[in-house]
Amino acid sequence: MLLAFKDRAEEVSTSDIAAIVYHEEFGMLGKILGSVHSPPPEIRKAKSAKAVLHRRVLYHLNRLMEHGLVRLTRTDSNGEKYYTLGLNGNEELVFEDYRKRTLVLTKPRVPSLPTEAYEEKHVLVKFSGETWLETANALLLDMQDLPSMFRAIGPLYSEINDVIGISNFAMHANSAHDAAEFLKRTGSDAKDFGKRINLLVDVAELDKDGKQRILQMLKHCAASEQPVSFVLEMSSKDVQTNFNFLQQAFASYEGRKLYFKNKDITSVPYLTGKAGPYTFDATEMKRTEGSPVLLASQMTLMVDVKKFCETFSFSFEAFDDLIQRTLKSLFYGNAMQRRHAGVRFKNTMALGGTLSPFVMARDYIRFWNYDFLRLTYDAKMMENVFRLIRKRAKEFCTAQESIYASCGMPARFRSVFSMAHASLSSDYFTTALDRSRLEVSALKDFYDQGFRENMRSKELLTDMFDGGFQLTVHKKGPYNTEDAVREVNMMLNTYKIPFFAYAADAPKGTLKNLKSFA
Amino acid sequence: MEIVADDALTAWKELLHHVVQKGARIHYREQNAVECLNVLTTVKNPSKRPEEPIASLNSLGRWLYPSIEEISDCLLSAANADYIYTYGQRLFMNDKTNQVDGFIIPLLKENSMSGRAVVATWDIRKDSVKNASEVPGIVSMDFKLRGGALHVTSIIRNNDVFFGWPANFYQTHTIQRYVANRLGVPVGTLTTLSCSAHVYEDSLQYAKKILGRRLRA
Repeated sequence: MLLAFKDRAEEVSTSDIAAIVYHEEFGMLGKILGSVHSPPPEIRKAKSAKAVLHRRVLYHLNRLMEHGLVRLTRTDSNGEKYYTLGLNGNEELVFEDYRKRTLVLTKPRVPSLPTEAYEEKHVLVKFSGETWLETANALLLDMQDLPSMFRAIGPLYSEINDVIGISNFAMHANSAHDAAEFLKRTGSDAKDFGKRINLLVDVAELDKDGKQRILQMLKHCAASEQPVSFVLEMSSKDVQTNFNFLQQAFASYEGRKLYFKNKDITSVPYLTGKAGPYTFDATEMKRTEGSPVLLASQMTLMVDVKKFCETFSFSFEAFDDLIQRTLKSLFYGNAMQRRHAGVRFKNTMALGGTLSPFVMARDYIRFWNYDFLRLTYDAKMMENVFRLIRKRAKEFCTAQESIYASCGMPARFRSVFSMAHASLSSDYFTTALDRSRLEVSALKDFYDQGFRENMRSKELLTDMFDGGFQLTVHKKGPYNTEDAVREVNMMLNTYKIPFFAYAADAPKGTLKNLKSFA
Repeated sequence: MEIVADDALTAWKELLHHVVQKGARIHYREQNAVECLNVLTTVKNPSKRPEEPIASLNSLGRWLYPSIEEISDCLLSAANADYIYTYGQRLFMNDKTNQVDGFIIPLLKENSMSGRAVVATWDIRKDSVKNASEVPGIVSMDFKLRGGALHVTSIIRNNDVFFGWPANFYQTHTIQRYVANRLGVPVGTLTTLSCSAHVYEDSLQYAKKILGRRLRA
C-alpha cells in the first residue's frame, strides 16, 4: 500500500491506492464496469465488489494513519479521501519484511506545483531554475563602513541569485578612501559568482571627493566590464546643481547604460538585475529606516504572455487561472523558504537588525512580451486585463495572510507584477516582440507625437507594474554629454517614470533597410 | 455555550453551526462577522483524526491552508522561521524559557495532581502593546492529569472558527501529545474556550458548504 506513494509527491486518492494494491481485481472490475455490453446484475455485482475493495483499503489506511505513516489531506465532493505520506521532507522510513526485502520511504522535499502544466509548455518559467527555492532574488544593504560590507557580501552570493544593491553609496564615496578598491574587489567577486551589484548614489549627497571617486569608479567599470550598475538618484533640481558632474559621469562611463531614479516621484530604492527591476513598497519602507539588510524579492516566476496566447488562445478566465496558479506556486515556495530561512538564509538573517530581512520582501510575477495583448487587441484591453488580475492577486495575498494569521502563524505574502528583462530572452522565452526602441536624437524628439504616445503607454505600465518598471532611452546619432544631461533632465521633468536608463549604445544586430517589395 | 463531541471534525462542525446560527452581527477588522462569546468546545477523543477539519478546508480548493508539516514545525521548533510570532517560540524559547520541557513536564511528573500546569503564549512585553502588529490567538493552555490521562484546555482570546479553529485544535493536540508522551500517559480530552468565536461574512458561504445538509435541516 505504501508503494502507491512511490514517486508521487502529491496526494493519492483511495481509488488510486486500491487500483495498485488490488490491480488484478480492479482490472477485471474495470472491464465489466467499462463495457456497454455488461448486463445490469453484473454491473451491480462489480460495483459492490469494488466498494468492498475500497473498504478494505480504507481499513488499512486508517491503521497506517494511526501509526502516522500516512496522513489524510482532503476529502473531495464525492467523499473520496486523499492521502499523503506522513513524513517530513528529510525523514526516511526503512522496513524489512520476512523475505529480507528493504523498503525505504522518503518524501520528496518539494510538492508538485499548480503551475507544472504551464511550465511544461514553457508558458511559465522559474527564474534561476531548480534553485528557485534555495535562494532569494534581490537584496539591499545599508551598512556603515565598506570593510564590514565587503565581509558581509561574500557569503551572500550563495543566498542571492540576482542582484545585491548597496544603498547610500554617496556616504561611502564621500568618506572612504578605499571606495574604488571596494568596487574592484566586489565587482570581481560578483562576476565570478554570476551576480550583479548595484550602487545607489544620491547625487545631492555627494561632496567634491565623493564625486571624484564616483567618476573614477565609472571609468574603471567602463574599462573592465564588471557586473556593477550605478543608479543615480536625482531630482530635476539636482541635475541643475550637478550639471558638470553629470557630464563627466557620462564621459567617464563612455555612453554605457546609466540608471536614474527620479526622486521627485519616488523615495524608495530601485534595483536592476538580470530578471528586471526591483523596488519596495513606499508605505512599508517608512517603517524600516536604518535596517542594514532588506530583501526586495524572494522568488520570481515569469510568464510569457505571447506563448500563453499562442498555446491556449487568450481568454480572461484562462489568463486569470494561470495567474492564480502562479500565486499559489509562489505561496508554496514562500512557505518553504520561510520554514527553512534559518538554514538557507543564515548569512542574510545574521545581518538583520531588529527587523527581519524578510519584512519588506515580495514575490515577483514577471511578464515577458506583455505588449502582446496591446499589439493583438488594443492598449485599453491590455490595461483592463492587467488591472483586474492585479486586483485579484492582491485579494489572494490578503486572504492568505489572514488565513495564516488565524492559524497563529502570521506571515507575510505579497506578490507584485513587473516586466521580465530583455536579457533573459534567449534563455527562456519566445522571441521579443518587434517593438520600436525608445530613441532620441535631440531634445525636439521629446515633443514628437509618436514619442509622447509611447511615453504615455510606458507611464501606464509603470502604474500597472507595482514591482517596478524600467525603460531605456537610447541616444541615436552623435552623442555628446551636454545633450545627454539635458535629455535626462527632460525625462525627470516631463514624465512620470520613476526609474529609467539612458544609454548611448548602437542598436544590436545589423540595420537592414528594405529597398524593394517582392 | 458548551459543545461536546467525540472527534475534531464533529466538534468543528457543531461549533461552526452554533456561531453561524446564533452569532450576533459585529463589525471587526473592517469586516462584518457573526460572533458568539465564550464558547467551550470539548473533544472527547482528540487523537481520532485530528487533521480532518484541515482536510475539509483543503477540499474546498480555494485557499492554501498551512500544511500539517508547517503547523507542526511552527509549534515544535523554537526557530522563528520568519513568522511574526510562532507558538513554538512562545512555548519553547520565550526569553530563553522552555515552558514545556522546563516547567509543565517536570511539574506534572513530580505532582500529577498539580493545578499549576499552565503555559502562556501571550507575552505582556510584546503583546500588551497598543500598536502590536500581530498577537497570539491562543493565549494560554492548561494541563490536567486526571484519571490517568492528560486533559488540555486552550484559551483562545479571539477565534476565527472557520479558518483558525482547525489549526488551533491541531496545535493544541500536538502539544498535548508531546507532553503526554513524555509523561507516559494517554491523551485525554481537549477543550478550547473561544472567548470570541466568530465567522467573517466572506467565509459564511464556505462555512455553509462545510455544514451542508446539517444547516439546511
